Amino acid sequence: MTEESEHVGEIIEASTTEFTAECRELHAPPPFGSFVKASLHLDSAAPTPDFDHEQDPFADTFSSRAGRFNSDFRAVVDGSSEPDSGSLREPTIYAIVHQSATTPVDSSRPVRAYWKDEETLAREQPEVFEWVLVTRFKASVIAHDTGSAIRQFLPPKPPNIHTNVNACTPAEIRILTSRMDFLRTLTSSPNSAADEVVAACIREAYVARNGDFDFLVAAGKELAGLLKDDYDRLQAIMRRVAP
Amino acid sequence: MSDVSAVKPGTEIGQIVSGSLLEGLTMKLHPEGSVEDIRAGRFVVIEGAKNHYFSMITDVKLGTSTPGLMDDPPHRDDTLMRMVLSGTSTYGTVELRPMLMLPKADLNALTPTLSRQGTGEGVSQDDLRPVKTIPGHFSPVRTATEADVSRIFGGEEADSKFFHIGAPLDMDEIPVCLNLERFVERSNGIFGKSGTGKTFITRIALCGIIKNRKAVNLIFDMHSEYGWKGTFEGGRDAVRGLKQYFQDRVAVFTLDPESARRRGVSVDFEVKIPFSQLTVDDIILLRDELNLTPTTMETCYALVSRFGDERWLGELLKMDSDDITTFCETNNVNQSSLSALQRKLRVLAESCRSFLIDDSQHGIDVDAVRQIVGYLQSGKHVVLEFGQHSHPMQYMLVANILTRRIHSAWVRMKEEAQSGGQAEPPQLVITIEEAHKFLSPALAGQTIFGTIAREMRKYNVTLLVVDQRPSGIDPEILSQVGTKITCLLNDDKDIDAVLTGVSNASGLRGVLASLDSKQQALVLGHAVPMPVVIQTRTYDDEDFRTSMARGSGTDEQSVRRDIDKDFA
Repeated sequence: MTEESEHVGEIIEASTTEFTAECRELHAPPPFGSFVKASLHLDSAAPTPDFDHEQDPFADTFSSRAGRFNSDFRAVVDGSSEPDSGSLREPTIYAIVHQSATTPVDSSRPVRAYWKDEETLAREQPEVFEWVLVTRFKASVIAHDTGSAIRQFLPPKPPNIHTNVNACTPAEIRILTSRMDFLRTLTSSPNSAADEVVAACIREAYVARNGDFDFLVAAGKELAGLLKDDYDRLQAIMRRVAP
Repeated sequence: MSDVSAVKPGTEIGQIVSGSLLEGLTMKLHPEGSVEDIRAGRFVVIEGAKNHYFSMITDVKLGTSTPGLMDDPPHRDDTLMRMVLSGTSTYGTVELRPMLMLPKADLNALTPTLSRQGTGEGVSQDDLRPVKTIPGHFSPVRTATEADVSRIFGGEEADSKFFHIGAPLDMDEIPVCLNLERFVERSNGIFGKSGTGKTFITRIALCGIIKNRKAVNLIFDMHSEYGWKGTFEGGRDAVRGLKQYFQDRVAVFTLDPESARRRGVSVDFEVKIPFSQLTVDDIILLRDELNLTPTTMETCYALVSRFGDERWLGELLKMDSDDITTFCETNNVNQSSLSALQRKLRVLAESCRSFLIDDSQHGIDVDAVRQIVGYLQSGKHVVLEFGQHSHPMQYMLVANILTRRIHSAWVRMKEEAQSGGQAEPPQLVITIEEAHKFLSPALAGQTIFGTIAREMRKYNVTLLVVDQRPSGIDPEILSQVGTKITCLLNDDKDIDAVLTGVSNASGLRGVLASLDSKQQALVLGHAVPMPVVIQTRTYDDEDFRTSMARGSGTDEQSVRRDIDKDFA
């Protein structure tokens, strides 16, 4: 699951709400709006909010609101989908790619044009691609897995620098999108392209769910609740996700 | 109906979001529900924390939480957007009028009884209380179930006082029962536009009263549709009348034996009314029809004081011009008004000549009124057919004369019973059509019907008023009407009139105006614990025939055979 080949990047900057990762290959960031994950090194003594040993007072409310998508989610939360439900999973942080950029490694030395085609340049001056340029992407943290449960809120601490970043599998995307709490995090982010991120990640999840139209409707309903004061914005997003 | 399955009984349809005791409650419809499944008049139950609230849907509205949406609605092809908005930014709200509440503790205590009996037996309607509070926010609302309906309206099997008159809206097969004991103890009204099924509901109610022996009926059958065969709008064959259902317990009297013979009706008695039975009050009742002035009515009293109660009319009609002059001189009466009166009463006597006879000349062998009273006292129901004589003037005259005498007989019997010894007179229900003519504000104070409607059950006589123009009835009388069964009414004045004396009438107005034009009625008042819209049961279908034959005191098979034979 955590093989080298799957790594899409390595975290080089991290904060509570987002992290920046350097891409493994130049010009090959994970797609805009895609779901990524990274290991989270939680201090075992840290007060991780974990309600699993208590009665969850909101359990019923959630299940009635999230409808059928919730079943995936609860399966993971309850550990019932895991054969070895007794053992803990690795704590993980989940994020959505909201920006990527290719820039010079040394920001004080702007890139100059070479007026050659890409192939010639790569042959004659390979260092340009290997040492001068770098592709980085930023991802908004939407959820984390404490090891025993997936929580759709920010983790107690950011991921460590130099942690590998991997793309999420469709199964993971289905579980993450079985509840839509992360949409609030995305819509309320100060990011200028927030609507595009929301639309892109819904499209991504739609594909991971094999084109389940009901999912689009459920996501739209969640957005309609979040954006009830801004119908134009809702319309703009829905136009971007319409199949 | 094809859409019955849309919302099954007992389905949760929404949550209470706001409201007040005075103005009713507002429910937000669940997103998965469609407003089109919700119909005004439907019976629903709000499950509060401590009480169940039995309520009626009075209005359905569309709401939105996003003002901009109204300016730029999604395109009709934009399925995704419409689905997204439905239930979130756009939603349905439903206005509910809570009618009765039942504490949940009582409900639990009653449930075992209910399931054991399978009927409403063991449920005392006294446990139901008028609504004095409202359920909290977000209380779930569900459609009523059969158990709810029988809890409130009782079941036919439980007690013979309950009679099945129809089913709640969208809940076919679940009977709503009328409490006949309460029904007959007050005057009642059956209202509705022409052709909405008033007569059929009246027949059903009468069948219930006769079958369950709760009262004796006197029916003034203006259009000859109760006694023998009735007609069915829409070309179906004629339906059976009361006589065919209840053979020897119903007697058909007629004013027009010719018409009865033509229609092949076997008549028990032919009614003749002697002049001596006509009083000034009867003439006053017809003042609009005869165009009488107050002066001419005073003239009547002068005649009465001269000739006495019994002979005044006969004497007046016999007078020639000399007699008139002499009479006017000796009695200080205006001559022209006396001749006008004579002229008009001659018109009356002429138009009623087949049943109104001058007893001073012919003598009369049998007194029809005494016959009718005798039948009624022995528990037989009387249908008086008018045949061709269904002109309002004739109808009013006869109905008034008979009712006045029957009423006085009942008063006498009741007083004798009070003094001890005599048996109480049986509860009598008098059915009149075109009631606004008898009970108009101008006449209600004078006709016997006004008196009966007002003094009500003191003398065991009540009215069953059938009318298409309730606004023409004196409001004072309408407010005293116990149970109102109302089919579709469009006129605002009529709707107002029907809802006179009903608290919180505003919600019911919409319900009344949205009834189907056939076989639907709003029932409210004394005989039902809460107002309810019903799909009335079909008169004279197989089911009705079976239920009439059942428990009617005679062998079911033979009754069925008789009914079928009559109709072969």
